[in-house]
Amino acid sequence: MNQQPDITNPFDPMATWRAARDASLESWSKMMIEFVNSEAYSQATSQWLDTYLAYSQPFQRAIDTTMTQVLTGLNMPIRADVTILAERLTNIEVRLDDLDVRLDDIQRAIQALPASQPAADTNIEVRLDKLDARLDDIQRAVKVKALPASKRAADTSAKAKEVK
Amino acid sequence: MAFSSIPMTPTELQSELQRIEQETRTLVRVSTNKANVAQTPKEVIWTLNKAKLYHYIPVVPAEKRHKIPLFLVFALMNKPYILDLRPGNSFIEYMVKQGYDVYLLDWGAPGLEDKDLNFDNYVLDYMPRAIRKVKAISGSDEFSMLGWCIGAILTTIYAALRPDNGLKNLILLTAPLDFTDKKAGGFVRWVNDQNYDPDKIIAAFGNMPGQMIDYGAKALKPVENYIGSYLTLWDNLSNPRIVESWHAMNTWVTDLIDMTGATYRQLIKELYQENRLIQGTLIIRGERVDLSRIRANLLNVIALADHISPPCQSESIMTKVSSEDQLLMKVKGGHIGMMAGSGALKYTWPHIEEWLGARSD
Repeated sequence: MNQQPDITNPFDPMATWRAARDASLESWSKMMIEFVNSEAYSQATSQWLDTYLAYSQPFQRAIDTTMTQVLTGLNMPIRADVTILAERLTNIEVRLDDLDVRLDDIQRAIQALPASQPAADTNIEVRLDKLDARLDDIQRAVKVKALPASKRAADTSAKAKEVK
Repeated sequence: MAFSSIPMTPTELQSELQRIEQETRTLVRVSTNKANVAQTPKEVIWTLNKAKLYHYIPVVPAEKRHKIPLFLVFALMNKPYILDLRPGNSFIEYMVKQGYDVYLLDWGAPGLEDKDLNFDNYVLDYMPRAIRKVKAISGSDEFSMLGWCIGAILTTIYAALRPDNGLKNLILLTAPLDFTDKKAGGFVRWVNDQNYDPDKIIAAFGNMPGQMIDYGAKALKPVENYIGSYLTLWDNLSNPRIVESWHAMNTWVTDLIDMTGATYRQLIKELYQENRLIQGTLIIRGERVDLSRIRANLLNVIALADHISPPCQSESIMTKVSSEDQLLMKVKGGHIGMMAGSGALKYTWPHIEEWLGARSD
């Protein structure tokens, strides 16, 4: 069972004693393993546990009630308060983890954009030209909407003539 | 700490007394201090409630590393640093040196506020988030997942519910999955007794106390755990290698954490008593856990002398999954010794690495 020391002396009474001890432990161990694997042990353990819980619970409840009254009287948090607080913190952590997931997704989406796009966008003149063109479009659209329908039709025909 | 021979001269007596003094100091040190454990360099990359996800700092250049990251999930009722016990005896250190990008999910120690957390939460709230982070940090859409003991239950359920989420390789270590044999091992016998009611324990304590779980585990082999272990230390106090190994293991064994009440109830009732997982009737948040949906490459490692999860509880999953690439590996050793004992470095770890290495690029 046990690892023996490296040096053993055949004339050493301690070595003889150790050998006898290990032999007896070996047989004792087998006997105990058989015992704990028996139905009798299972039943005895279950019954002992059952009895212990049945008898200890009233005392435990009395202690809990007293402690609750004392702590409440002292205006201090009881165990239930701390537990609720811990549960709320866990919920916040879960929400933060969800946000973390979403941020990661956004980050990945940004990284997945074509490499040429940011390079083009950094060119200020190109960006200004694009903005200018979009503003012109908006301006035209606003003008068209602001005109009465008859005027709009006239302008359209005038433009058509200009094109011709 | 015993006389290796009877001292005959004053010099021998003095030397013997010095040895005894030294060994007494060693005994006091290992019985009053905690060993330095979990020393492989790492960083925390994600947290949620008590859970933390560690990323171990790679030591192999990126071009020589395996492409697919390795995600480790340990049991709920013990600290996961058994996988990184101490330098030279650390599965994580070993795998990092072999060029794996290793991540470890530490469930942390639940408090009373967590008593309602169950397998549904662990598998569908915590694990997907941690895996998402593993993928983001590693840059790989695929990953390997290793589950040990209850961790193997969690990884099996995840693999069945989310088979298309990039899981390429699934490694199960001493997985308690099939409880058909109600007489296989002490745990199954005890929790199937008609007087055993997990609801009463949970009603009394909220969570399943770590001390009670520890008592159950130790009571399976009472002489070895309560006497033999300490005799081993006593007999080998002059052997620093054995002393340091014992110290680290004892630090882990005595570092207990509770299991959340809802998880314990689910584990005992739905798995140990009703055997729902292997029968395909386990429901996780409305979804049926169908083991045939598992298609990932599967390595199932069984310890032949496992008294906590006997081999018959782990073997039958091989016929339930759809994985075309699957291997059942039987190794010598017990539930913990298989991965953290002296033979782990020589046998278990190299075999796991060899299997995984061929499927990680």
